[in-house]
Amino acid sequence: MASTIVEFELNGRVTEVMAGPITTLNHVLREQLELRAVKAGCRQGGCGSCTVLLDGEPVLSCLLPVANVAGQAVTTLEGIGAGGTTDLQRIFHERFAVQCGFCAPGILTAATALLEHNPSPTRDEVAAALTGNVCRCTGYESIIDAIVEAAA
Amino acid sequence: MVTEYLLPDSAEQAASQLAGGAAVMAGGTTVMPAVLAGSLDATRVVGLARAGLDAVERRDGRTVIGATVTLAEVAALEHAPALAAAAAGVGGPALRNMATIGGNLLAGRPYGDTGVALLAFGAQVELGDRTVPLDRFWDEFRPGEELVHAVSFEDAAAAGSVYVRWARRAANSPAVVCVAVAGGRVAIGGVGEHPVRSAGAEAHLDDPVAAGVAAAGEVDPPTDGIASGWYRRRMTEVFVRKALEQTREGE
Repeated sequence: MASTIVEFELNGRVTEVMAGPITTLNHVLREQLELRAVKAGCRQGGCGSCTVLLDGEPVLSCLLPVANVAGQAVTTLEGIGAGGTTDLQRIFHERFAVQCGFCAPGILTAATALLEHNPSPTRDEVAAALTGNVCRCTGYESIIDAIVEAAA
Repeated sequence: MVTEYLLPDSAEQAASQLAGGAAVMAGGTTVMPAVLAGSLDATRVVGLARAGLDAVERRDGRTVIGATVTLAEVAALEHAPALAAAAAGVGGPALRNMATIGGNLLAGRPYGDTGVALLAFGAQVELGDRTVPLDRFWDEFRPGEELVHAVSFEDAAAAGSVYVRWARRAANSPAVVCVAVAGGRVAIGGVGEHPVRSAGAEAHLDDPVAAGVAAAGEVDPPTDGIASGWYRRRMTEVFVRKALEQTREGE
């Protein structure tokens, strides 16, 4: 099988990986680079637990061949929280916004992108930004509360 | 197992790479789940991400949308409200940043909501060497042999258009039925293998209740994991009515 080398920016640093033809970014992040904030959940694009930022925009890493990101900038939650905990993470923690935590990295990543584009979202705008992230535990209200508080 | 993944830098190069049975991938939201599940037949995948099909052009009162334009971009096309709403109703923000209008057109039941709006617009599909009216596209298109380059429609056909959607969850959920109304044309999704026009609804544009009944009487929807045929027929009646009520309110 013909592996290729893919070079891209990862959390601000230029990174090279060797990967199979259609190996996904999710697999590279979790299995090769051991950056396990992203999860491999549904593997169909429906749960959002694999969410990363690509040039600042949320995408689903489980459906993204790593070859596609050559020359682009990938940001994971490890990069978002680099150098300490963000206000968003701190408020999630203090307000007990999540329970099992499986959805949390995807949600924090999506919320980070939201707050970059829209620093003062309405509750409805927060909910809209999270429509691609499934949470089995919380019923979402505590999560939305935390994001609204973080934006305030 | 996929042993080859190609990223050609033009539609022509992509077309040449189809020979021998390749799967075509635009945003990956249809093909990659199959790859990950091990259910993709092809060993070669041709990716269109760099093939230059990602432009939206507006010229001479006509809009041309390249096949790999993302649903997030389509959702921002305010001059074609039914199409923008159809795109905005698909999945979530991250998925819409990847999924494309060309892929959505070929996604198959229960997906493909943008095709419903485009059908109501009387859209055309550009295949490189020829252009096909959308209402014939799904029967005539030869996957694996030809490529969708773009879809196009007259802006006048899309102006003031209406789209309604019914799904089992408020978001991130395939439609049970969806209805688009544009310029006297009514299209319905979810009731057949691909979006269809509704002659019954179009004969009763001024009477939304009668239109709903007529539309429901013409369809024989499938039963699947999303909804039963009975329920889809019932929702056809309701949502054709709602779409026409909204259209009349907007006039």
